[in-house]
Amino acid sequence: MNQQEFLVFIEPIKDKMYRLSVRLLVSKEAAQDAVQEVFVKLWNKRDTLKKYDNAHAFAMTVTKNHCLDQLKLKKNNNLRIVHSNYEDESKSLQKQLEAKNELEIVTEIIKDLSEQEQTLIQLRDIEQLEYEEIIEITGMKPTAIRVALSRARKKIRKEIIKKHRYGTV
Amino acid sequence: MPEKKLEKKLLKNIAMELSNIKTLLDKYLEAETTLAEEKVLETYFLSDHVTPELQEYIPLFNFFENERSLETSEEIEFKMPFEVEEKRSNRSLIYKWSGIAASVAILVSVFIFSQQQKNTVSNQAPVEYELAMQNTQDLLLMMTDAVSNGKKQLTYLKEINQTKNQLINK
Repeated sequence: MNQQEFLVFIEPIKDKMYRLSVRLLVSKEAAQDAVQEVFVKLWNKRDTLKKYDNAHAFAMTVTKNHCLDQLKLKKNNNLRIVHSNYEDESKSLQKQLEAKNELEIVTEIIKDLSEQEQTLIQLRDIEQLEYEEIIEITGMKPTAIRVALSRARKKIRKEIIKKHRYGTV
Repeated sequence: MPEKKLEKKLLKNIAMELSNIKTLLDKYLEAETTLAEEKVLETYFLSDHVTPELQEYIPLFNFFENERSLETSEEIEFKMPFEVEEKRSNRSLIYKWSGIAASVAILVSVFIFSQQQKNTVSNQAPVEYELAMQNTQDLLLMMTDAVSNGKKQLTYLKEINQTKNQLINK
C-alpha cells in the first residue's frame, strides 16, 4: 500500500474513527491525538492491511482498542482532567441553550454507560453499522451484542424519563 | 360523505402508524430491529408530529443524528504518518552520513599520521643506526670507567678505617 492508497483507504473511515474516539475519550483533543496515533499504527501495518477481509473494520478495532488503552492509562494515573473539563463546558452550555440542553443530557447519560455499551451505541445507533460489522470490530458474539445494546438503550430511556420528570428542565 | 371517509382513513392511518412505531420501539429496546426499521424510527422522531406519550425518545434520536454530523474535516487536519516518517528519515539520513563522514575523517587522519611517523623513522634509521650504536657503546664504556674509578677511590676509605682502628686499639 503506497501513500496514495493509504489516503484513499483512510478517507471514508476517518470521521467514524474520530467520532468513536470522541465518544470514548470525551475530549476532542484527546480524540484527535488518538486518531493520529492510530494512523501511524495502520501505516506501519500497511502491507498486511490488504490481507484483512474488512480492513475498515480492522481500522475501527485498532481505534477502539487504542482508546480503551488510553482510558486505562488515565485511570491508572488517576487523571480525570478530560472529564472535568468537559463537565464545566456542559454546565455553561446548559445555561445557554434549551435545545442543546436535551442533547447534553443524553450525552451525560451515555457517558455514564460502560465503555462497551458506549461503543455499541456509537457503532449501531450513531454509525448505523450492520451487526456483522459490529461483530468484526468488537470481536463480541451476536447475542452478547444484542443483550448489551438492549440494556444500554433501556438505561438511556429510563434516565431521560427521570431527568424530564425531576430534572431542572 | 367522501370527506368523512377520507378523514376516517387518515385517522386510521395515523393510528396504524402509531401502533407500528410502538411495536418497533419495543423491538428497538430489545435490540431486535433491523437498520431499516431503526431508520423508520429515526425519521418519525425527527418529524414534527411525535405523539406526546413518546416524547422521551425525541432527545435520543436527536442526539444520534447530531453526533453523526461530527466531522474531522472542518476543524482537524491530520498529519499523515508517512509525512512525519519522511521528515524523520531525512533527519536520520543526515545523522547517518555525518557519522560515516566523521569515522572516515578519523580513519584518514590516523592513517596519515602513522604514515608520517613511519616515514620519519625509516628515513633516519639507516643513516644513524651504526653511529647510535657506537655512541651508546662509548657511553657505556665511559660509565664503566667512571664506576671503576670511583671504586678505586673507595680503597682510600678502607685505609682510613684501618688506621683509625689501629689508633683506637693502641
